[in-house]
Amino acid sequence: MSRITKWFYPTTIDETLAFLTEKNNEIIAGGTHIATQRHQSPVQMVDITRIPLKYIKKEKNSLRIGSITTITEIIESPLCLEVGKGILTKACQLIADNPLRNKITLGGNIARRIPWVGLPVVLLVLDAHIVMIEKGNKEEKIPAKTFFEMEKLQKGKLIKEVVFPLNSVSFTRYEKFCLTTADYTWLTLAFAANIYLGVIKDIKFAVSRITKFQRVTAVEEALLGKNVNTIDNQQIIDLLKSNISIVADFRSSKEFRATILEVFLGRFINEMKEETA
Amino acid sequence: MKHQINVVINGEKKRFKIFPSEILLDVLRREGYKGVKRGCNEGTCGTCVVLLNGRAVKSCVILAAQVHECEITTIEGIGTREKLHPVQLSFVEENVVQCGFCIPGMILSAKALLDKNPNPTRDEIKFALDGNLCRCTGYRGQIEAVLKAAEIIRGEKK
Repeated sequence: MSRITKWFYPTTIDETLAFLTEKNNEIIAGGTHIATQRHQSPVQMVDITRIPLKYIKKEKNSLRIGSITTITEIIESPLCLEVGKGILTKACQLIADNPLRNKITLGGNIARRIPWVGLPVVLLVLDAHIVMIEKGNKEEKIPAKTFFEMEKLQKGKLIKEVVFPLNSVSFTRYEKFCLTTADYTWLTLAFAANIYLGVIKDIKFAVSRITKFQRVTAVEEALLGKNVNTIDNQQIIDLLKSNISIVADFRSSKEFRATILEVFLGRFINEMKEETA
Repeated sequence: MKHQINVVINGEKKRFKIFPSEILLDVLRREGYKGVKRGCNEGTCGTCVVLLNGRAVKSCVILAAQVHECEITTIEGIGTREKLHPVQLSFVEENVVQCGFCIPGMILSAKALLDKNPNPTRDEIKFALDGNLCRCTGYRGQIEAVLKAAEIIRGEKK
């Protein structure tokens, strides 16, 4: 059992930030992973579900989603369908199952570097920004790439919101491989490209779970400027495999994971050819 | 026990003394809500589902202190033996209950869906019930039962 000694229920961001300066205080929002977690040392929980960070707001060129917005609320919002041709909604639909999606929050999904979570690859390919806030109401807007390179969040900082750009994109895909809805994810991939007259003008590709969360720039560079009809699928797949370090676990070998990766990436490229050529 | 939470359970105001690390499932069962079943105890099977402010959640992965000043509905708050809730009635009439262990959670997930959307598609029902595992009957009958309950709720069927 966890060694929780006390609970706080702040109702404002200022109050929350004051609590975060204390050494043993830990944030909880959805908390689905914390309930079964064993804490080595005593902790005090700061329940942030009452602070005003539950919102989905559209601005001229972006959509801002507050960090305690749940995955279900994102799925149910028509505004979120406008992000990356629906890739955010699709990724959220594939997170866990309904009772868990009702509790899991956007901030919780990205705050910890848990490898099986679904949204980091989506934030990476969409060039989303994470807004962090600290005492004194100082805000910092961090690109997703930088955010996921950090090993953990700095003490005393809170994820305020995620800002998704609403610029047009021609083709997006998100896929996740797992055995059941409640299974830990085996692989997640996300892909976003801008294609004009059959030529790839901009492309972002990210993968996780099979390796650490990462954009695979070697694949992006190989595809950039190419006519979609001239892409050699096998060459891109081989390039991907040689540029990431695939990890095995007790459930599957490296070879099996590489095969899943090959199938999904091949499928993405074929669909891109069909839709945009 | 050094933490106190105020909750509304099945329409009744309650005040519980809890341990700060206690799981909601443990507190509910200790307080007599035995319709909340313990299955996997790790957020997989859905037998412990309750409604938290109208949404289905798994009480085995929620700390009890998180529901302070919230509304909870358990299976005990749905219908009576004399007057079943439409979802309970249709589950009985469609014969989709075998061992019954998963049924409280499944009925609550279905109720949460129908409260928001009384005219769901089959896919919407599958999506709403995807967190409730049944090892006896499969799911086809239960999906039919939810469709039938929706007809009762819409007043198209008695």
